[in-house]
Amino acid sequence: MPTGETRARRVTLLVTAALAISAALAGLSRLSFNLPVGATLSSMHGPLFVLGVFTTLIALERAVALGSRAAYVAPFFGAIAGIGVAVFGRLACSLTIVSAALLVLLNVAIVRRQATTHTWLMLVGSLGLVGTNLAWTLGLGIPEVAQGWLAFFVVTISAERLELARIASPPKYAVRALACLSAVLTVSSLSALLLRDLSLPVFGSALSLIGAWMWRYDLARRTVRTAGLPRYSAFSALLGASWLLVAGGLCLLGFPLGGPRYDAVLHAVFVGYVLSMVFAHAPIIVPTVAGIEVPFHRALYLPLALLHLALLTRLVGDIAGITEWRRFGGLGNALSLALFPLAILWARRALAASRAAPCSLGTATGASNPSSVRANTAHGN
Amino acid sequence: MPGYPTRPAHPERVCWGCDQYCPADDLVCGNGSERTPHPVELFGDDWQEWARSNFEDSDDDVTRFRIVEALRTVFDPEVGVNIVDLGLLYEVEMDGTLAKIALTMTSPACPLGEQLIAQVTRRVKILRGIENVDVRLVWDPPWTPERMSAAARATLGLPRQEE
Repeated sequence: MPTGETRARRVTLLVTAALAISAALAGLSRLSFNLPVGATLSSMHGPLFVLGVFTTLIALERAVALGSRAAYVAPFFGAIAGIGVAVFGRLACSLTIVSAALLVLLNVAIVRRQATTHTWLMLVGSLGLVGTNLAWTLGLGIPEVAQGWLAFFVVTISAERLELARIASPPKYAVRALACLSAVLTVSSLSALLLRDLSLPVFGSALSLIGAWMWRYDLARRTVRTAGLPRYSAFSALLGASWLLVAGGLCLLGFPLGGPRYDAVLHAVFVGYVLSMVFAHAPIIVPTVAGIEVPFHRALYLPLALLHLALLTRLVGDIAGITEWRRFGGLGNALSLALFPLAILWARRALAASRAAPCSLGTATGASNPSSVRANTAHGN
Repeated sequence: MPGYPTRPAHPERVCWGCDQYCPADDLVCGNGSERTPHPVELFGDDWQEWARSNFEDSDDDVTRFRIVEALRTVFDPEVGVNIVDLGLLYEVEMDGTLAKIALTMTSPACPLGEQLIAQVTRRVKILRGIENVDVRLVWDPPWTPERMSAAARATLGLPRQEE
């Protein structure tokens, strides 16, 4: 029986999944697919994904890490803010300030537990999110604040990657470089609210350099040569890092308030980097967060491949001005999101089938078949 | 050790990495690229006595040794290296039949702690002479890469550590 805490996490995950579906449908309706999506929801495609889905997932991850019941207020509120944004649009944007502030509190608790470069960076990233959400609430448009949301996710995720990269003992200057780049990214994303033309080239350079940093120092470079889940996860991480390079480069060429290039930068980061990282970590995180076993299976590469191919199609469409490519790239991304849970189900079925298959296991302790061995031990979970 | 066969007839056909006992070439869990061998393959039929005979110290030391060996089957899912070689195991103490284990993690922001405690408890509880397991996560001193074993570094293709 799942405990109360596990149930609360599962409910949060389910709400987040529902928000992701609404956000994806809203995105499709913006690409002129004929769907029954209201104007409010359609206009909130970006904030819903960014603040409703991804921020809630990060808050949930931190709350589980902290292991205290009070910490769950943050992901709960993230989900509520997501629902608010989906239903009431901009009217609910002040809720996102609260959910970002709660995330700051979680990150403070984590820094107090252990103050290292990567935990500090997570805190800096979340402070940037509070500033960005505040600017949005004060009346700035989504395109004007979007770089703040980009910065929050890039800083938070690269801090998590830095934590792993430490295993390969990167030189001290590399760690300092990432810390500086993250700080520059956060500060330039906020200063872009006032001095857009001056700040965006700095922002774009920092974005590209963080991508390059990952290609040089990320542990994925090592684990991609292993097998199974670590390899799959490393693949997703390295592909994600490549999109940062692309997004940073596009930013340097100019990051207008809307239009195809704006579309390209945003989706390169949010789909290419953030969603790819969600795919990379879901098989690792879902078992511990939801108590649902996610075994590794090659099928997990399918949604990952579709995600990156569809994104490439979309970006080519954006840059070359081919609307149809952008539309079908977007559709492919929505399908990859739908395919991902199916791949997990497939993996679970494959594992169940392999457990049911007989294998010879004569033993000295009297356990004569594997199922009886399992009956003795596996139910201690 | 209820459930864990001490002398299986065909140990090479099974991965002994965890208590799922999958066929040798399945590797469905994604932990590592090779199956985990049974101790009987490494140390022979008398593997249980082997551990004992190599220690002239107290029974507690033997038990602690077996706990550490058992924990080599608990993996970091993202890195694909077990927690002992990764250097996450800080302390193993025996107090009668109670095993006290202190672990750390590479990051305080990582949500895997709870799952790790559950896995460690499961692996240790089935060992002979242990009734209760008390696992706690500690954050001080912080984990550093110097804590990794040579085996872990080799698995990840890292250069050997300088002395």
